[in-house]
Amino acid sequence: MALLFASFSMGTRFEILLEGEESAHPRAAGEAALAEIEELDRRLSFFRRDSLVSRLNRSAALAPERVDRDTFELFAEALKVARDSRGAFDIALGGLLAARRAGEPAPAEWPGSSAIELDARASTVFFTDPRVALDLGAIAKGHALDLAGRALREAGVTRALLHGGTSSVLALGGPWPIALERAEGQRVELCDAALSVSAAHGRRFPDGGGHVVDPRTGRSAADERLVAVVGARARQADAWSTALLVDPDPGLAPPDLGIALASGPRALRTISIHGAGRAAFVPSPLVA
Amino acid sequence: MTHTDRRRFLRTGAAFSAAALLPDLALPAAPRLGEPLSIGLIGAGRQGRAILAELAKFPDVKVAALCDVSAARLASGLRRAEGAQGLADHRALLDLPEIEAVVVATPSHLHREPALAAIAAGKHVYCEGPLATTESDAAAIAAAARAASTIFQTGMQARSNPIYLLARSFVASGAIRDVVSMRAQHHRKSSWRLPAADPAEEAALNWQLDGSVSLGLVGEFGVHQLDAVHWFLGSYPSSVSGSGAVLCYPDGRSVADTVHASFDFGRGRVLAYAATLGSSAEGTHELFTGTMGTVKLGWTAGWMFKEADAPTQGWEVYANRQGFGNEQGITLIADATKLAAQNKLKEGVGLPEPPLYFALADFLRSIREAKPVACSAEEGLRAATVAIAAHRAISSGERIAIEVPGSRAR
Repeated sequence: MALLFASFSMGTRFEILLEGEESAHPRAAGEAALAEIEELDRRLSFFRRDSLVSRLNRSAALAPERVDRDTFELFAEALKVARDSRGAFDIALGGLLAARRAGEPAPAEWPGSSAIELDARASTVFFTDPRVALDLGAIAKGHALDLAGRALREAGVTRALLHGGTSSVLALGGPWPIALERAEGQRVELCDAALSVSAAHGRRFPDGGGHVVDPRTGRSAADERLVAVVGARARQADAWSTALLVDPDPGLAPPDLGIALASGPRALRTISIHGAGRAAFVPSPLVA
Repeated sequence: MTHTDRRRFLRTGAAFSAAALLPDLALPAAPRLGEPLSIGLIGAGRQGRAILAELAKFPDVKVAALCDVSAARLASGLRRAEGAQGLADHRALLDLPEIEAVVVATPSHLHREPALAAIAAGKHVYCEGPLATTESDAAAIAAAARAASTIFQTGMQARSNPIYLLARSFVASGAIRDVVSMRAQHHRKSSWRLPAADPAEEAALNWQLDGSVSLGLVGEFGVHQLDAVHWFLGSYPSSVSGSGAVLCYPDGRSVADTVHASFDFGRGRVLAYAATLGSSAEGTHELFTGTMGTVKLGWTAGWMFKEADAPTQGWEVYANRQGFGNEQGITLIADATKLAAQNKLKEGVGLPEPPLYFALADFLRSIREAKPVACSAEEGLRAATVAIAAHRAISSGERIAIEVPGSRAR
């Protein structure tokens, strides 16, 4: 027996597939997981006026703002990835991204997430530069999947597949086989693990650039790259797949992540696999 | 007209009209010097946790303690209240002398005991709606609140919602002229069932689906919309009829997942209500249809539709509009004055904070600045009375007469 739940959140389609008859009311478990995703969308959306992120963008430069523990831990992880990736990943790009979306020239310079101060004891966020604007797009889907997965586990579910926009995937139980588009014949098998794929596709800015931007230069990441990251948690995989698309140096990433980097104009010709991660990247015999 | 010219045009036009007609968004009071207000939360379920998220935004408020009979819910709540004490029993919470105000967010049929205990302990109380699920419980709470010198606010969020305040002023000033019809709906696609990690908890957790304690969709969701209608019209229905069924989720529940109700407000005016858990189409909204226009309110946004022969006010020329099929709705913007001054009138359609934030802000203002309570226990009692009658009508299929305590048809 399989149940499918879907929601349009964070500008994309999330789906949750539950298999098996583990609980008396599997529908309730799936809905609780969707509710986490939808609530996160309301809380973290850059585009909603009444979101926590919009509130922080208005007020966190004036005085430290309290946030709940889950949100605090999200920010803490994002700042760590920003530091470890040498700035290839950054959640403070709201101003820059808004300019690119509007087809306006990028500002001459902009603050990064080093201007974000976190106080763990008070659970507060403070911006030391008023130009900071949070845009959590590069990590929000993964975070949503992690919280949805947590809700499913709390409801006793042990086998499920969740994804957001098909680029962020979380597997409970497994193995769940996932095919990678644009990487002919490449498959990933996930078992209690997350996969995030970053590539320049779909939405583009008015100037034609891809939507993943290098926080250090303001320019879009190269079109022919694809990065797939596998790890225990979706938000970590999300953040690092974005960072590695900008700066494809797998040595920067934590050693327990599985990383596949690929490049080439059309179907990917060169794929190099780093780290064991928690999944097997199964190369097709057609790939040289 | 150049880009700059248009902005200047909009700014002067809108600022004039906004100053003349639209109430400024009342911002919460600036942080007071001295001790923060200490608040206790009774009930850390979904609504309790939503309340914690909003209270965190007030720098001069500290959630000192929360309580819940479930350890799992309590732990979940504590993740949203840094430094708060976690307790299992509301009596222990009420014994804490530093707590000045209490929010009651227990299941609706369990409001009475903590609400009365909190009032008796001399605390200010914000009680979630519906006030209670029986007439006697609601009356007892209202009587205790009336006799107390502390603040009591019922959590009927429409009365604090800046968009609803704005719309009500339009209706009161005659902008839509005579109201001939009202509609309200609550549509969502969800079974409304919560997962229980422990099967023994399942029944208690899903009290909303239990017909022996729950007022169902009209009591849990409709009551807030009913209160908005009472507030706009200044009157209450004299009878209600309805029907309901389990159409989508035959999982053993004894509460309808789809209901309809018709409320008679006298002199031919009827409120048609529909609620379902089987569809999200057009969400949750209320419609007031008048001879010169219609107001549509959707909690985080609102619109006014003018009849073709309605006189045009000057300010409408500059107002933002949104298309709905062939109709054009004037968007009701909550803080037009401020946005116009910042040349941001095009952005920011919709509330800057969730509706719950404004209701809690009003509660805090009532405590600190003696602002009149946004929704009194009395109005909570009236809304609950109407909702209880509606649930009875839906369950029985009979038309039920409504006796609203202390009301006069106006």
